[in-house]
Amino acid sequence: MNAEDADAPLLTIGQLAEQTGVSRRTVRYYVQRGLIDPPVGRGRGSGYTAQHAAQIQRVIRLQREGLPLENIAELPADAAPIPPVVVQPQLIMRLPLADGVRLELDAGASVPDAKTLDRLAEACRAILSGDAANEFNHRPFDDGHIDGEGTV
Amino acid sequence: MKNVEAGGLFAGGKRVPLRGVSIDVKASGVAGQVTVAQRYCNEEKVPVEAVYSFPLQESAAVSGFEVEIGGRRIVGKVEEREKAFEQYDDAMAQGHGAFLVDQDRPNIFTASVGNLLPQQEAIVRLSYVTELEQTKDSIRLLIPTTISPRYIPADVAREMDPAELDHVTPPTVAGGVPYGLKLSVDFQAPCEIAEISCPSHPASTRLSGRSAQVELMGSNIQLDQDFVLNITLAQSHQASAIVARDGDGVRAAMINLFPDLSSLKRGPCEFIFIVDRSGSMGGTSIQQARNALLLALRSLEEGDSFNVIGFGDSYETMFTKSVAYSQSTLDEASKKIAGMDANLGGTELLAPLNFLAGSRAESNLPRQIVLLTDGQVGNEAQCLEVAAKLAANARIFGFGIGHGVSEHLVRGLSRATNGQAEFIHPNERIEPKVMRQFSRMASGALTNVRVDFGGLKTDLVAPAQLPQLFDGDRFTVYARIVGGAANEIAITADSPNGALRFPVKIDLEKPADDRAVPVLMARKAIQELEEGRGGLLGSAQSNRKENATRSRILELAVRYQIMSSATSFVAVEERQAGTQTQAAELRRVPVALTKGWGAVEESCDLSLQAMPRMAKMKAAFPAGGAGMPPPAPRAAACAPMQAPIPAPSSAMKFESASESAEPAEGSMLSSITGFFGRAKSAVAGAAMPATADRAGEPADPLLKLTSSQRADGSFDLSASVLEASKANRKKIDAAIKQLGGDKAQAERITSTLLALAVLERDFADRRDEWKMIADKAERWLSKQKLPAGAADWKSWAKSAL
Repeated sequence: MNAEDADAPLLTIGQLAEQTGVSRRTVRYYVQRGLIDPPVGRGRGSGYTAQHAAQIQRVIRLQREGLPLENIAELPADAAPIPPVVVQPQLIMRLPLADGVRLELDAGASVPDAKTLDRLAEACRAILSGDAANEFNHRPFDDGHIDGEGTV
Repeated sequence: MKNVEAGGLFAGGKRVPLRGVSIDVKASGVAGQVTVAQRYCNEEKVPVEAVYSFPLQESAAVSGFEVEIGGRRIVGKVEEREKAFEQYDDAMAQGHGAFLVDQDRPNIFTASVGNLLPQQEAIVRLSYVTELEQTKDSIRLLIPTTISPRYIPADVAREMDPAELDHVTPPTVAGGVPYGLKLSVDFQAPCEIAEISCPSHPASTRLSGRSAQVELMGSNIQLDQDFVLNITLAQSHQASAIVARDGDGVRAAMINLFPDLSSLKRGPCEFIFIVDRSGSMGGTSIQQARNALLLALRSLEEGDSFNVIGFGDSYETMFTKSVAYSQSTLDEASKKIAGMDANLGGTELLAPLNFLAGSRAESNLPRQIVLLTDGQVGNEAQCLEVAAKLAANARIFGFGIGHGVSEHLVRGLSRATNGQAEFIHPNERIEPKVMRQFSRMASGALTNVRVDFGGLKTDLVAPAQLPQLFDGDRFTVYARIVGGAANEIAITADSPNGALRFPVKIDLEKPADDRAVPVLMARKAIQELEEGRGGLLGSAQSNRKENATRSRILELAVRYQIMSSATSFVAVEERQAGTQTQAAELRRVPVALTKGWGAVEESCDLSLQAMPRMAKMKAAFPAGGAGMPPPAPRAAACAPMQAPIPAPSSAMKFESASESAEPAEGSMLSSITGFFGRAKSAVAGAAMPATADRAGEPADPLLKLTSSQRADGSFDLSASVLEASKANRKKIDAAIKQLGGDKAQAERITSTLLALAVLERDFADRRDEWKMIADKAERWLSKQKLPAGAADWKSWAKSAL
């Protein structure tokens, strides 16, 4: 705490919670986990300062960046900002198209409708059975997207 | 777990301040009165604050809280959640004794026992009322005892209030906790009790006529699995209307109905089976899921279509789209199901639910979703929200599987879609439950369920959106009656066979002086509000959004003095100034790892010698949310785990919960995280003994027989039929010859006749398990041309056995 803050009136836990947008429970939780300093003083006279508010904001920011609380506690207060964790898209869906052939769709990708999937599956089966030329000659895709690719 | 140790929560030789838990159940008629007592003792030299998260039944209406400390008895009161915390926190800061209980989820509660002075003891007592689960002539009591590690998606964990996250993911120990459980049940039935059984625990039972006393046997019983008690009565349950006085003299009524809907028949449906294949399902749970699934598949009929979705941190469908139910699709699905493992990592239930919400049944058949899960997710609210969307064209019939299932999630999803839930403890038979679920699906034909209150005026009906009626299941609705007169209330519905009307007699003249009915009514109304709202109630973010729903919950909860997402119980023990000179240190009470969770226990037994003692696993998750089960899937995607196996140490082996047992540091399951990882769990694999059912050969003779039934209902003349019938082969061959025509067809007819006769002869006492199978076989038989009448052939089959 610097000299300036020393004269400022102490905040109650409720005021600190209000200021930082967290619940009282969270403030207490942070204190107990050593994520922020304990209140200044004890009993009725105890309270919090602007520095506590800054500490809470830092914890929230690091948490949003994906850092687990246990690591935040270990981090020196003046540590350089941590580069955001690279998150790979999560695999969300696997559909069988033919024996041993699966379609995988990533998070965020829109799932094609059942009819499209059905045609995709049929095309795959045809290609795999070496029947592709016939399949495409007889049953051309009506949207023409794979025109010309039918002859293998 | 470093943070846990740094906080001095558990390790480092600190005694766990919780010394024991005692649960007393008094049940009669339709409701149970439960008291949970927790004894805390501070054996340290500093004041402590003990924080213990524990489960209760999701329907529990918690209406009492008192604390016994230093010879005094302090009665707690219900306050708005944040206000209660303020009172607690202020009392703590001033050195008073402070006690708080929060509801973190409808089935997860946290007790904070503040400023427990050195050598001081406190007993915290919570009491609640709950509806009994009743079907036809049976009653089931399920009391959870521990909080299973649950999977919380990364984005959800990041947005959650850290204090709340901490509550729903308490520190978990696999080596047993140093506090034990005492549990007793006193049950008074309205008629003779025919049978009583406790599949979960060794228990002593005293049964005399209409009453039964059950008590857990042995000392130091771990709180590591649900307590389950099944009671069968000599008679079926009767409809009733229980009237009691509400606080202000107004009458509250609880109307119970057990409709007979056995005449309803199910039409063709599209079935989507969703199977939880996350790591926590490892071991017996996935085995049970496989068996239930195989059995369910055999209960389908020609004309139905189906698909199977397995989910973990990804999900996969068995067929590109739902396929028609036929012998070939049944064979293909059975083969694939037999190879299913719990190897898909985390529990992203939301993704497949969202997928289903966005897709309609192609053939416009009514959609039935059969969900098999342990329900251990932390984003219940979001799942329920999607389920509410699904309700427009689908119903979920949930199966909660395992020793410590999340009752709230499985029931909640079923409730939100007008479906029903069943729970399968590992020591229970699956068949009757699967059959019961399938017979419930016939209720899809019912619409427009209403209550006709006659001349009565009501100002509160709970639930406002009436649930579905199911054959033999309890249907309950509560009402606050503010005027009018009637001696009969009726539940009505429209069915394909015409309008249905179920009258229930009501006597308003002598209201009982029973607080249970109004309290249950309030809880039901609150439950509907909590689930209807769908937000993350209990989190700081939504707490600030004061809206009509929350105020209504608060109003009801304060008025009826019960716990809810918006209210907590608080009690303060005033102490003289100067009693306490230093701030209390936090002691988070660890909970026992759910028995069989992710096959941990089985793996310990198998691989004890191979594993180093006290080996510690480092969770392989560089990023993620706070608390225990971190957001595995995304992290796992960028950091494939090297050895994501919770190292089973000897500390993990089930040990007695003796008073002196000091949980070993190494047993703290930081490694639980590994189970939610993508990598195939070697432990789960090792733990999976090559059981008979795994090899495709069910151990249960009934299951063995019924699994040879074909999609069309007929039976192949297989070894299992021949073996079960013990019939003379010559007689069978003669019959086949006599039937004539196509030989294969004649064999099937003979075999089907024999199978039906075996079911009657050997499994008469398990009729509820095979009735549907027999009906399907009969329907197939009726379509066959038999030279003599079918009756003659049936008596031939009987005589051939």
